[in-house]
Amino acid sequence: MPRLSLLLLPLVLILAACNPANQAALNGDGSAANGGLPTQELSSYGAQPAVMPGGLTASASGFDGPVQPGSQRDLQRFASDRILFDTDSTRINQQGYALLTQVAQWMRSNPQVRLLIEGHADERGTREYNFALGDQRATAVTQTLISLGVAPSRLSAVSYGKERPEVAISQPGAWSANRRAVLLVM
Amino acid sequence: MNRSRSMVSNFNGALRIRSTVSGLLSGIVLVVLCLAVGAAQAQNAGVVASKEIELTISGSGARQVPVAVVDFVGGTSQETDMGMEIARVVRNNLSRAGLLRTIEPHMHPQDARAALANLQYPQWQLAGSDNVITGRIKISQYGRLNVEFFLSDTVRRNQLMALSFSTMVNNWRRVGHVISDQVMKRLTGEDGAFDTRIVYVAESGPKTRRIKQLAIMDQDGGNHRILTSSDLLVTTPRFSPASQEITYVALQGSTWRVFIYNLETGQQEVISDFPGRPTAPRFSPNGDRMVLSIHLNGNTDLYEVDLTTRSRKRLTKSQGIDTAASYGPGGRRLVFESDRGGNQQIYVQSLDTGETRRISRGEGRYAAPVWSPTGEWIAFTKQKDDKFFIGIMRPDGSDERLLTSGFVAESPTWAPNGRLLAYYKQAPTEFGDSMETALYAVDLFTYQERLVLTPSDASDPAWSPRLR
Repeated sequence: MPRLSLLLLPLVLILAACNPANQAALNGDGSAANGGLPTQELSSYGAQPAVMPGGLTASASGFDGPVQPGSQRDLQRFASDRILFDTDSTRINQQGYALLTQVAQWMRSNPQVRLLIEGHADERGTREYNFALGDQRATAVTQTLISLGVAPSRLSAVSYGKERPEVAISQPGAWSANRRAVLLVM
Repeated sequence: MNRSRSMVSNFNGALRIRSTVSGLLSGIVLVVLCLAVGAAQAQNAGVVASKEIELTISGSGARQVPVAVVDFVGGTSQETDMGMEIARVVRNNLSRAGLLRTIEPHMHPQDARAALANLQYPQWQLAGSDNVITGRIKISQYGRLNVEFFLSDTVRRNQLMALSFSTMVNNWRRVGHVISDQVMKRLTGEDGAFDTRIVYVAESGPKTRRIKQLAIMDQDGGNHRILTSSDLLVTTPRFSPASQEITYVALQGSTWRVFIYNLETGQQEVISDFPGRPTAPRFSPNGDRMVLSIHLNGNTDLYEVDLTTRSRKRLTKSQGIDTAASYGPGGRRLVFESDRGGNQQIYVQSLDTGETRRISRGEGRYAAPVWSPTGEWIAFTKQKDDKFFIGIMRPDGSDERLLTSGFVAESPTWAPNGRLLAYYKQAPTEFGDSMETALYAVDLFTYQERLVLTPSDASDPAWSPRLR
């Protein structure tokens, strides 16, 4: 029985993320009203990264405790470490550009920080193409940050293609969360 | 680095094949028979039009040649056991071959020893078995295995073939595969692909932290082993058509590297120590070159690497993604996918003139083309209406046929005979939070699809050339 409810959990969360009315079911700290769920599971379904930043890279301690300047959590709080893309697109959309502007500002405040930019694709493409797509997305983020004044030497990039989805479910909601670039503090 | 590009295969010990047409046995008559080859070739695949897309469906219309595989006879219990195992390998191979049909052992009118000593042609013919395979095995005190096998025609009442093999005992499955290829060729005129192997990516763990290791097995799933450690994320392995070498892309730290793995020496070598991010490598037909994609300065283009000198040549300069290239049989033409025209389509490019032509014409996206070893076909992955399809088309883009479909179906790979195609399919499990990922193979004569059993989830198959 516990195993079954664990399996069903992601479905519930996806539905919650897709329906704004269900947002009320989540507490302010990101835990479910009735479940006492771990924080990072909920925040990983960020269809709107500006509102719900973070994800699987969030530490096990969640969002409690002091935030180290220049850390991954600092980046998540100040801007976001997730940039989402439209289907089959490598274009930085308006929301993504706004976030990257904040990231660039954060990079100016934390001049010691280097970023690894991971490009990811959803599972609805072929493997080789998705590697290239992830590369193009990582490059799009890199070039945008450079155009916003970040030194190229502080940025490196890698594509994961469709090899590392953040959300395991085979549903459109998960696919949009998986079409992403992740900014990792090195 | 002193890398020899001309390899002599010596995997798992040499296998010597000795034809005994005139020596070992008296009274062997080799008659050239025109068995049901014509009938087999004449049959056409049943093509059924679904609502939106034409899918060539499974089903065999061919007359299948019936053959009985009798257990091979041994003296000791070890020999008897191995004789049964070898016969089982042959039986399984031939029953999956499409053009052949094996007779169940319980239908055999004679036991193994009697059939070997004195084959009663009429009884076997009556049992529906037009052909019978018998054999005997002997294991020397030095661990050497000797196998003799005989193929008999019960209709014409003569022996078609008698061969003897000598190898190390641990190489016994190969004997079964070599016999299967010999029988296939003799009875159907077609080359089998039984004495071959398949490398693939063995998958385990949750989808978000998938473990992907390089694995290899005989084409029937035997002799399975894992080749790489679990901390190396491996994708897109490809066999060299000319040697027992595999190229693949693997993640080390945050860098993807292109490796060459030599199966005979176990040595791995990185060949991507150049600027840019490499993907989708594939050997040229004689293994002296490699085509791959490199993402550099914001663009993904095709490059060719000379594996002897390591010099690199850029092959495409289009805006957009050029990837998943595969050489034509002569090594002077490439087929690849590009989204230069807006979405993924298949193009053929001459390496001599640079002339490039789009060949895919249907609706949907076309990806990952692979030229068949015979040059007749190009296999591809197609995406349309939220589904994946595996299909084949002629090198000029005509005669497109879709062979199978799935939630995901991709990575087609050709057997060296050019008539078997393996690929992987993926479908969400009941709860939708993970995938079942498995290898399949389809026979282009019968259009029968079969599951290729693997110990774990499996993707990205790559068929070996024939062993030597």
